[in-house]
Amino acid sequence: MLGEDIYAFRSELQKRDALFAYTGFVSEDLLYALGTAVKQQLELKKTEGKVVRRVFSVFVEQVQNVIRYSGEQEWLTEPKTARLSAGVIVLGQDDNRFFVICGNAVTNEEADGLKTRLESISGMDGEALRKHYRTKLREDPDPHSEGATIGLLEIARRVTQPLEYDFLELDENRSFFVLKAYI
Amino acid sequence: MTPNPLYIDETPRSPRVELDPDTGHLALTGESYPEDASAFYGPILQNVASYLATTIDAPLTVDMRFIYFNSSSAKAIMNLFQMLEENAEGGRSVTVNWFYDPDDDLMAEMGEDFAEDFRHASFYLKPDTEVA
Repeated sequence: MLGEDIYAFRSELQKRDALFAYTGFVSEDLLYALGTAVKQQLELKKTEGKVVRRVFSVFVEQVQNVIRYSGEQEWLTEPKTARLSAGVIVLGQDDNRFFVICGNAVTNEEADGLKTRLESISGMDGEALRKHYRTKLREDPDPHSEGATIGLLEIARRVTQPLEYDFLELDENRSFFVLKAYI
Repeated sequence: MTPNPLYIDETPRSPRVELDPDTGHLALTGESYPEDASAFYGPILQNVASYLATTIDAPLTVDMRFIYFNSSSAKAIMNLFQMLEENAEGGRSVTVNWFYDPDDDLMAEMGEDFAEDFRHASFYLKPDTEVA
């Protein structure tokens, strides 16, 4: 029973083209470990260096967004030095293209802000994204941001098809935000 | 007063940082996606600022050799470059060398983007097979 159950669980992830999937608390240590796994698995598949660099970059920005902005966070120690942030991370491959999916809870207020930013980013071509990124690099950071806008721009610059995103309403205060990037 | 030299060892997620006030040489080498980019780069920028404040017109050479940096690090690098450009505008001779793996088109493009911000400092793009 147990074997059947867990084998079916694994098969379901494989059916969804996952090379690996993680759900639970994410930390900076885990980002480093998973980032290394991304590089190793792409290397095993003899992926071109240019693609590896793009996938790795998207992966780091996506996972750091989960760590920084997940609506479900716990601080590990006092003083606040390490945080654990709940989310979902998937690295996958379909039709020879890699994808990175991240999902985490956000407040509805944050969801509105994210929608606005993602809609504006979706309307930009490569050159517009590059210019906007340069402008954002020069600006003083938004006090509530730890770099999210520029992180989303970095992701948008590396994808090979438009970013897919969705917001699932969890309750009256929170939504589940999902971002899928094909590289 | 001679400013203090700075040396920070490389880690898998943060670059080696060397500032030698005697030779007027600053170098950043490696990968950069630290947990908190402002916490990592803040003290480095302060150190460079105090070096610049205590040496009025000594030439400065900066060697950047990055394999990878994330967007938060890019922001910190931009802050460093803005400080250097202001100093060059004030009359100091500043040279920035941007070394990158010739196969790394992203690093070349970032170098080109940073290059546009320099009017007074000299900025050189240097493809280098040693960076990898």
